[in-house]
Amino acid sequence: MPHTLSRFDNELNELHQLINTMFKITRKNIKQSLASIFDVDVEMAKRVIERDDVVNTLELRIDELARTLIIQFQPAASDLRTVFSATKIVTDLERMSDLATKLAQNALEMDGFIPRKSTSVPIMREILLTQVKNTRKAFINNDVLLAKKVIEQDKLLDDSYENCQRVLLTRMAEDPASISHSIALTNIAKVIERIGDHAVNIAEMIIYASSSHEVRHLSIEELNDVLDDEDE
Amino acid sequence: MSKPKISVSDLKLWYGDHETLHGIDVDFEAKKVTALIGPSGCGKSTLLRCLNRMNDRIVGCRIEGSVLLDGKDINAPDVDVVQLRTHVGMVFQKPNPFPKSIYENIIYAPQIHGMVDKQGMDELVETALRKASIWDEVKDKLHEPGTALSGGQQQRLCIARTIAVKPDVILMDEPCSALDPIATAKIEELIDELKQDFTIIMVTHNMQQAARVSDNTAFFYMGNLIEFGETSTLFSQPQQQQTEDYITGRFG
Repeated sequence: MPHTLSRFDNELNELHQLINTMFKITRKNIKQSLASIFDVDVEMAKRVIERDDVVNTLELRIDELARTLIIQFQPAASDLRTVFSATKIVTDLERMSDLATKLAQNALEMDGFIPRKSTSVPIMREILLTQVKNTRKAFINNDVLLAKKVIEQDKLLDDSYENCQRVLLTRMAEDPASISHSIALTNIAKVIERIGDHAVNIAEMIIYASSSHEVRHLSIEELNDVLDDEDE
Repeated sequence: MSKPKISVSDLKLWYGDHETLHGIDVDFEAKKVTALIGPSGCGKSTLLRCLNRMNDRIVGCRIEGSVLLDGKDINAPDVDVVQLRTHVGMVFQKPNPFPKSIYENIIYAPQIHGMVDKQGMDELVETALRKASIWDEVKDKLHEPGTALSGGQQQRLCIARTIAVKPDVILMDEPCSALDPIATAKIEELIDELKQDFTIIMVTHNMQQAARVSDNTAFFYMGNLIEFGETSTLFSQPQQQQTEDYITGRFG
């Protein structure tokens, strides 16, 4: 049902559109920062670094709009959850973009080394890109189940990260000449894992905004219980 | 919930042939603030007036069901309405001090009820005015007319007048709707202090006020209680779609 004040609906819609734009650019930054590493594309890495400013500007604009909505309309219930979660989501998106910038900087420092054939970093890349894509889709469609899938996918990312660390530690012990590249790869894997954590934070906020369930800091089993209770 | 101060069961009210309240069940917790919210005509003020039998004098008004104050039916034949109203006081939308001095406004009811002797009057006046957070503003003009005070001060004087007979429950019917934001803030601050000693039930159209000052909130619509719950929960996670629509401004 539309709000009695059409301006409120318009501004809430604008908030949603701006976050969607921020999502789009952040996702592009993550995708291209990883591509710049895997394809040794220095120009692409530079473009990612430049684009981080756009994300920062959007974060400030969205925060300002959320403040205005609170001051002017004192939203309640689902509107309150939407505005509250918006301010949390943009913080995570901004961090994700910062981390993408970090990956792009790594690309500039990799000196032509391609991580393609070694470790589980390429697998982590694929999991992360799916996770980020699903997070955006869950946001656009207020899809609680897809948001839950994003949280579940993080376990795969964490497992791959652990595996990656093990492999790299062994390699460094066995082949001291590989140490510098292995450290670089460890850093990349760590950043990918952290971006995944931010995607999880966002997914939790999507669930909160859509269903009112507070699912932060729950195990997967507890999360399933909470959302199963709702289905019943 | 601990034992309720007021317990309303299956309360129905008619004005002539028109049923206005359709079987309300609600408990009001002792020493808590409960806000009654809902659109105009939803029955919230009607219910409030049932709690100290203010509807008694309305021609054609009839009720069924029960309203228990500390377990005793306030509509029982042996209940003296005047006595009932010393236990359940009321503050109205528009400040309505008597056309008398501030001092006389306070002692009027206690004197009628024989609750105070001459020696105790000064103390009673000071205590009531202090509890209503207006003592410092009026202590030097106690014998000036109450009607000479500002709107916000008059409303606090009316609250002091209500407190003076030492009620258990204070009913407030939109107590701030005629006041400016500063006077409103003073009343809200006062409500917060008064709940240490009194059970407060307040009708308000201002949902932010309900969210700020009440512990529990009841949402009414067309003579039905749609939802009752802790205020923080009701305003962030309402269980009923009608409540959600109303508090988010998507109604009607």
